[in-house]
Amino acid sequence: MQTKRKKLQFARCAMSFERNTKSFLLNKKAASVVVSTLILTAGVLAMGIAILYWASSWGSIATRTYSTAEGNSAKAIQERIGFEYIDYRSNVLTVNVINWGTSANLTIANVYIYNNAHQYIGNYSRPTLRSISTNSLITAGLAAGGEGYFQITPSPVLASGSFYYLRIVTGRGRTFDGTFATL
Amino acid sequence: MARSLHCRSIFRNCKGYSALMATIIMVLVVMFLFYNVYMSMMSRDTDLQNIISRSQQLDADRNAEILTILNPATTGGGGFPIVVTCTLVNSGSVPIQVVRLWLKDLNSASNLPAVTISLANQNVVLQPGASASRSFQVSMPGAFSSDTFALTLVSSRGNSLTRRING
Repeated sequence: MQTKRKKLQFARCAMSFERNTKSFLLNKKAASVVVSTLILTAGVLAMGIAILYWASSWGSIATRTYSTAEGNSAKAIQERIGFEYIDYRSNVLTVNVINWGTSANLTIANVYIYNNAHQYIGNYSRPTLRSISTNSLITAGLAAGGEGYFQITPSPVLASGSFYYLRIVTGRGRTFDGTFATL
Repeated sequence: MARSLHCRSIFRNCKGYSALMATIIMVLVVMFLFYNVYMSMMSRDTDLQNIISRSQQLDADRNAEILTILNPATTGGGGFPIVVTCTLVNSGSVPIQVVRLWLKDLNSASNLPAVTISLANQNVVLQPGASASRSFQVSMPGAFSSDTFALTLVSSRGNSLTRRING
């Protein structure tokens, strides 16, 4: 008797489960909401990835610009000029220099002359650099460890027996000061 | 009853989900971008610090150079090359390489220009505390060994040292 009751209960449960499952699977209500959510999510993800790549390109441009600027600053920091011999005769000032830094292609953008009271005498832009040994033109700038000289004609003529300051401004913006005296 | 109905309606209401998801994704994109640029800038700053440190070391080495010229003398001249002899002493704490020699005849009568020779090939290198006697041949037409000269030696670090050689 009890077994019969249990069997009946089990049959009822099975029928009710089957009915519920069928009705759930066959019920088309809210399917459109699921589909629309999926479509929206896919669209948002696609847009997000596109925006990610666009923003990354801007980021790489910013990174590249920053790296270039910092690279130029690094090369400028490593520039060093030493004054080997400065000679003034017949109103021609010959300045022999050595690039003892670690930056190659050191160019001279400007040369300034001041008197012993630090008063401005004159400036001379882009003097021609030549090799001390071979006298050939140096176009690409002084290599690291390289030596060269340039000549300028000061105007007005420098006074004899006087002390002067010389300032060299390199192409990368560094300045180096030297001194010389006229006979 | 009214509150639970209200809460249920909040959870079941699907309006605004897409905007929420888009905002979250946008924030993630911006954070990712910021992180990349920030880390790149940090690494470049570290490189710059290293370069600054190395360039300061260059200056320190230059300041540590101490070169002394002892017993300078000249022979030759009168149509022959001037031979300059001297003893070089490195009293500093860094090795010194002398790369160039300048010789100027100080006799006002001759008014000869300064002449120079490159010593890069002659390997004039002095270890800290070392001394060496060297002689250098310089072609200076019109000069005599009895003249008074100014001898200038230039090191590879841009230091120059001048000594007078009395005739």
